Amino acid sequence: MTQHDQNQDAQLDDLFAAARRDAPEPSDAFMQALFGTIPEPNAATAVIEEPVSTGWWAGVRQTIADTFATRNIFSDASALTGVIAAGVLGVWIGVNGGDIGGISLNPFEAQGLDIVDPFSGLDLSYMDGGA
Amino acid sequence: MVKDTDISLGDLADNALLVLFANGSKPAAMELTRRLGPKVFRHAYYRLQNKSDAEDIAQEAFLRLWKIAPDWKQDQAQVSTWLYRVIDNLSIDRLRARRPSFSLDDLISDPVDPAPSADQSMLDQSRARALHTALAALPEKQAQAVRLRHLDNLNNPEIAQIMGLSVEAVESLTARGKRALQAQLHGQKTALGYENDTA
Repeated sequence: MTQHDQNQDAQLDDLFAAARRDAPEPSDAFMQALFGTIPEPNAATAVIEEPVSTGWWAGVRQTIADTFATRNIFSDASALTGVIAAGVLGVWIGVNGGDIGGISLNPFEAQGLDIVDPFSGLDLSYMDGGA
Repeated sequence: MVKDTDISLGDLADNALLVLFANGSKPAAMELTRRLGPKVFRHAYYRLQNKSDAEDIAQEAFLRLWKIAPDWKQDQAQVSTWLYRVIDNLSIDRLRARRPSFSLDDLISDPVDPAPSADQSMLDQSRARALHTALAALPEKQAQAVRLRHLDNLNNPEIAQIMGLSVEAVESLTARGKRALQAQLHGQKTALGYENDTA
């Protein structure tokens, strides 16, 4: 770099420095106005958390999810816990004969109705016809 | 949730403050404003050369920041980088709507006394005007790169992020911009108080 180039660079640097010095400082009034742009934290800005379900089914799912999470078996066990919970429920229904907490899963029985086959002889008539 | 009293807000990065604000902390937003407000104002002033316009645009940029805060991702960009970009875009709109306020001829016709007794602030003002006028005559990208590098004192990677360019492209723009400025200002040395220079 020649002396001429160095002088030109120095003069340009001097101009930049002059421009920085010449720029006004932000006034207190401006800073107050800037603070005034900050909205009050409310529902519009705050992150809304999903309501926590406390039902029996949610409890089963959460227990399974916690088990996986604490043992670090899967990084995202949410989908898997649903499948496992459904499996556990299925086994339980089979063992308990369709009763969960004293509530029957049979819709007829739950309403106090006897199970009646409205086409009781139909299967026999089919057998007759087919024979 | 982290409480404002658990940590010193001054120790947190800009992005962390914005996320805190999005989660309901007004003090975090105030700290961010205190930290970035003056820088954003000066950047707008370098671009617009008008205090009132710079204040308007800086306020608008912060309003937009609070609005997008709930969707802010900590790893997407620096808050300051985002603000500089918004300021640049708003400034372009403002300049398009504004009539030219002065020309290069105004500077040459009003030389400043370079004697040691001359008021330094007057000399600064004259040199600053000459520089801003010369910058305004450069291609937009060159001028933007030079302003960010030499007035806002940002480093090349930061400038590259603001302008959406590679660091190499920024270096090239800055170098070409400086050469163009030197060529433009060469004829004004006397007016700008450099008459005793031998170069």
